Amino acid sequence: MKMLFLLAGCLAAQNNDWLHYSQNYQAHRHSPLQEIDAGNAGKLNLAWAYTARMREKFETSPIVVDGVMYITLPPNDVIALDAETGVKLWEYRRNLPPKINVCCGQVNRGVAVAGDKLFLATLDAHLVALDRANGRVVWDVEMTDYRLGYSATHAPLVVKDKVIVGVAGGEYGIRGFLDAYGVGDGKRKWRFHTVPGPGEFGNETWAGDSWRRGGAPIWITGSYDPELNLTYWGTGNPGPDWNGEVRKGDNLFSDSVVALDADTGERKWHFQFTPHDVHDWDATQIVVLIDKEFRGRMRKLLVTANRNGFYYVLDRATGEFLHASAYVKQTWAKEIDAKGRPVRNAGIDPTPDGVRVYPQVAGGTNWNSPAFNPDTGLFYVAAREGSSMYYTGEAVYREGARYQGSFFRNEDVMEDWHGAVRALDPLSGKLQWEYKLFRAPWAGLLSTAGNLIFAGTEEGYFLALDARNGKEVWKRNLGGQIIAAPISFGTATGQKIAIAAGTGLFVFGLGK
Amino acid sequence: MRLLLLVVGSVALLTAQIRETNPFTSEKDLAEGKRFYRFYCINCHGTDGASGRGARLATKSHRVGNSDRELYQSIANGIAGSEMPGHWLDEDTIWKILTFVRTLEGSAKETCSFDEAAAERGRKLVRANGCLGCHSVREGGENVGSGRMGPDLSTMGASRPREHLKESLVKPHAQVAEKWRMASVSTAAGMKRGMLLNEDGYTIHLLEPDGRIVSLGKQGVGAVERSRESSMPAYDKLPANQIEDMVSYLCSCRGGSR
Repeated sequence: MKMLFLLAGCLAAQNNDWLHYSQNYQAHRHSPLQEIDAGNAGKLNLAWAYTARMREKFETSPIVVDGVMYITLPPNDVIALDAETGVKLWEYRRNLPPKINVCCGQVNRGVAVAGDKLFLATLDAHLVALDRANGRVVWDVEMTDYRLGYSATHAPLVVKDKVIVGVAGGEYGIRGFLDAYGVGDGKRKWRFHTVPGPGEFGNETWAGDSWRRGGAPIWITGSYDPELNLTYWGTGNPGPDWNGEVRKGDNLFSDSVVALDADTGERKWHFQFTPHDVHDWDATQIVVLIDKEFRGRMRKLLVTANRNGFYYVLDRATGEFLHASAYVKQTWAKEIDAKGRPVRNAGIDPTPDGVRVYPQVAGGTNWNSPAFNPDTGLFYVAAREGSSMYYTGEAVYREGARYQGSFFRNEDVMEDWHGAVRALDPLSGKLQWEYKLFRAPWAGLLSTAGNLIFAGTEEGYFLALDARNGKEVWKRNLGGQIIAAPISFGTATGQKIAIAAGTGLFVFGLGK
Repeated sequence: MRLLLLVVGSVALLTAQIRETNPFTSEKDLAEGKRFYRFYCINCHGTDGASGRGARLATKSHRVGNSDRELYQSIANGIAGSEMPGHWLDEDTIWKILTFVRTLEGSAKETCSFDEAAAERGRKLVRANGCLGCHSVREGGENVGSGRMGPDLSTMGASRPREHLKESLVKPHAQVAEKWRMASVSTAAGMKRGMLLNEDGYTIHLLEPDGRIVSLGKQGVGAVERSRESSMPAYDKLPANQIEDMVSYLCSCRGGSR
């Protein structure tokens, strides 16, 4: 009964709210609000802004519930704001230990909500439940020892009575996992190791004991299909990143999507995008769930634009590979074969003098969210074009220290780097339109029922594009790099769009 | 004042978690540091920290501070306004690189020697040849040139070897930092030429030789063309002794109170 109540509390979304990291369990990042549309978006104006001093990247994706917005600030704080005015209601400041091991900044991407609680994953690898009314800690559990290189940066996902959350640390020789904790008591209910141990399926894909330091972190929020009761999570790179010599084999379940029973954490299927990766092409992109007719029959599909440069379509009930096609320039694979396995080109592995390969180390896209609009039926991705130089080096493991095994350089090969917002046909991956960006973007996308796509640029421009043809309908310079995804919510004064940029959170509306 | 306080506050935050002194100073750390230096630093600073186009490292007087912590920050975050980029490296690696860089200091030899008389002759030649139309330099605590189209000369002698400075005078196009390449854009009102201050998806900003900042919308203008050459003219027709005197003057520019 309690479970049902929680489920209802979680899913009974008012249109005005934004309850999940990616808006819904299918990870569409699509708002059903349609007051702001391609016809009037040219009149968007600032409704309010919240700014804070911070020395890190502002990657938050807000949650909005019952007129209150919850955002995270780097390194690990939570702020509650009045969604209408931006007035601060409370703050939670986390004291972190002095030496946190993170590859890419002391950042956080947002909270999850269920009933009267918020859930925050922390850089010292804890999961914290806060009282939604005042920010007080309800419970605080340690997932693992952060001193070994573990951290947590993504917004958790609440499914029924559990909070699902994974660990980052793919550059530190961790052994990745995904955990589920009880919403009420914070007790661990299950753990799925993304790197299988001895005797477990897939352990044989790691030479010797390399599985112990195999990485495969989880650092972006998964999705969930209530009918199948499966939750889907993209996993990160194998460790060490650019040195495959010490971990011969396919290295399951790195660079994969895993489909797990949400109640037990049991693996139902997996699909590996980049077996034995030596280019740091994590599969930590949002995995989007859509239902479409595919080759003559209705299918439950999972689609994703992967960091390795290919767009994939899978059957999400079975994991069957259905389609892949490049959505950015890539030079590493001849093709993806009928089973979904890449057929690699020669001469793409890192060398002592460096080898130039497309896509760049940060990939054709990265953690920045895609969007899916059920009305246009298109999949939208913020794409990154360009190459990197990949080098070999030594891999020496030391507890809690970086374990990358080599390095990359971009400086000498950036002449053709750029980006684009691309609309793809979700079944064929074919390009429908594109809006070119001067630099490769780190900002995610938002789709709205007003047929708009919101996007951000490295230079700080926030844009609204017509979702049907990619025409620019509005833009503003927000004065700082955008490294976050927009959301949309509603208040008494109408639909709003929110985006973090620089050191501020900016909220736009039609200004009634 | 408020701005200053904010700036000081931010710097305090940035430095809060960096150690004061280098904890990685063993022989093994040094060997690893040398290896990392080869990967990350050698292209600009040369094998000896004195022969590249980057700032000279074979010196005991680094421009942005000599303490472990200051040098750590230079490696990690880069140096604003210079070509030195920040590096995506872990803390241990940065400290080990610094361990190796310190050994370059130990072998510091004068790479930009000069005698006062030659430097004084050079000082006059620099003026006579119009260098201060494009460069600025601080002498005796005062700015005596206000040129904006080339690098400031005030610390050239502290950071650049004599050979590099000479090359810059007689073969200025041999090594040109991106920042100092002239850019041209065709507009309805004709060709605009200047230093590229900004280019994004929608606008271009040029600093014209007369010091004006021009803002151009990208619609209706041509693509930015960046010269492969420096805007610096070659002074290869000057007598060799005059070149040597001008280089001596540059060697004498050490950011002090000369």
